[in-house]
Amino acid sequence: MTNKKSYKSTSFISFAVIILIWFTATRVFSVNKVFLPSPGIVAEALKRLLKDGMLLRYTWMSTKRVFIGWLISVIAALPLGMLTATSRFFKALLQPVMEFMRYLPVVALVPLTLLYFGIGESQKYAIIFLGTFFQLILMVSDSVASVDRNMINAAATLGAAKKQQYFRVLLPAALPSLLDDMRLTIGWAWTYLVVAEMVAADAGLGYMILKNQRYLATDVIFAGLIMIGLVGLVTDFAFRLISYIAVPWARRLNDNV
Amino acid sequence: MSELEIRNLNKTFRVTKRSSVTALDNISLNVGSGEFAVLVGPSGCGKSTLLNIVAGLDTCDPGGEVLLDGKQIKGPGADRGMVFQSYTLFPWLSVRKNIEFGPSLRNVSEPERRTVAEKFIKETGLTGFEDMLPGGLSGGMKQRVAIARTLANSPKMLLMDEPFGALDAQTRAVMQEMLSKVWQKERTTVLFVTHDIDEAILMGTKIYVMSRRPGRIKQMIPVNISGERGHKVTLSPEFLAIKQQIMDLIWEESEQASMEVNGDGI
Repeated sequence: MTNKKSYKSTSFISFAVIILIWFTATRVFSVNKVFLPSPGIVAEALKRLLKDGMLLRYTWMSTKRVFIGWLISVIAALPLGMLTATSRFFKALLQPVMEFMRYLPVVALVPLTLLYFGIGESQKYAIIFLGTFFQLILMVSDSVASVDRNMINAAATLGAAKKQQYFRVLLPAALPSLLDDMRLTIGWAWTYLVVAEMVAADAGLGYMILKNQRYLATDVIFAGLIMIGLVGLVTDFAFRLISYIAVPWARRLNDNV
Repeated sequence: MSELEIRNLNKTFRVTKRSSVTALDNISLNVGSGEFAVLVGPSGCGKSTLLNIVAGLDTCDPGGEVLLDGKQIKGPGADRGMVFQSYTLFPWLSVRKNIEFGPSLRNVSEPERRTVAEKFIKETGLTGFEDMLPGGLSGGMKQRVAIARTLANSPKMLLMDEPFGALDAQTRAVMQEMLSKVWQKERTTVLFVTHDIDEAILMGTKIYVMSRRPGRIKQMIPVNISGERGHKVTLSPEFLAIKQQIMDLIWEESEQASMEVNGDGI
């Protein structure tokens, strides 16, 4: 890509094509609107839901759940992942357990979270935490472990104590891939949000989507999906902006904001 | 100025539960204050392992001693600055901040750090590159920064592990001359590892020729070449005589090694 402008217009084209195909499917091939409502009907639903404030309230609610659950998981996974990467003791202590936990489907843990946390917000955070923490800790550990050993050695021969090696070399060196790890896991957090809102929720985008399945209100389902996608786009953009500003030295060939 | 002394140093690597390989066999050497000592030998002779032990990044077998100014070394420390063959600059720091890294660990004040960094930026020929990130530098420039970073930390001695090994021939020649000049000025005690015989004679005040498997010191050769050590010196009779001597020592080695491969040696 030669410049920012052409990047944006090209990205725009791909969205336009999808909408065009969607439009054609509903108009020309007249697919039943229960299965696929036309872009117009979905826009109508979006407008209606925005007007009565429900959509924004649900979006805010879900975003908050995703963000808090994910943040707890990041705060816990960063130090533990770093320890796993740098200490044989912690690796032996944590890695096998994490590998085991990672394979437990979060959906199967829902009954337990209800038992332990009830139906409040903390249960939602718990689900998102369980879905992302065990993956994240392994990703963090991997990112930190792949920092060039010689860079640490160089710091050591310059007189860096263990703590200085951690905070002045290991952490900044791993930062670009740590930001990538966080960007990926917040995406997964949205998946687990829907899982969390499937049961025992009375608000949120996941809740809205599932409830409207019962009424065959496909247009509302589409409106919910579009909102999730939009929030995802914004989140991704925010992360790329952070990476662009915080770790300019790690910019790759095709990076831009 | 400082003096390095190595006494009866052995290093064995455990290969399996029952077998082990002797990498370094009874190494004793000393690098006097302000000397530029070079370890030269074929790859696999353990010269880098020896340097890592002096740096404190590796340990030797019990019984061996590494003394800097008479004090046993324990782990890595700022008194032994090391320049590695691979590029080890911190990519998130500018050239200047990389050079200031060592002093900044010891909370040296900003203006003082500046002054020291400025001095070595000049000496290593980095003027104009101070604010660049390492990612934008060529291999030779990166090693200049690595050398400046180590010197700015005012180590008692300098350990160099084939610092120009990854550079092309022209760049290497330029870097050798640069390092020579810097060393003439600073007179830091240096232990330098290379497998390039020309480089060894060009840089060193004495050369330890090492043999392979187990790594032993075969001979110490003092380098007494009068006058400037520019690249023209590589054609002088004194230079060529030393080169001949080292090549003969290493040639014996290679012959033995090839016979071992054929299965009829030793």
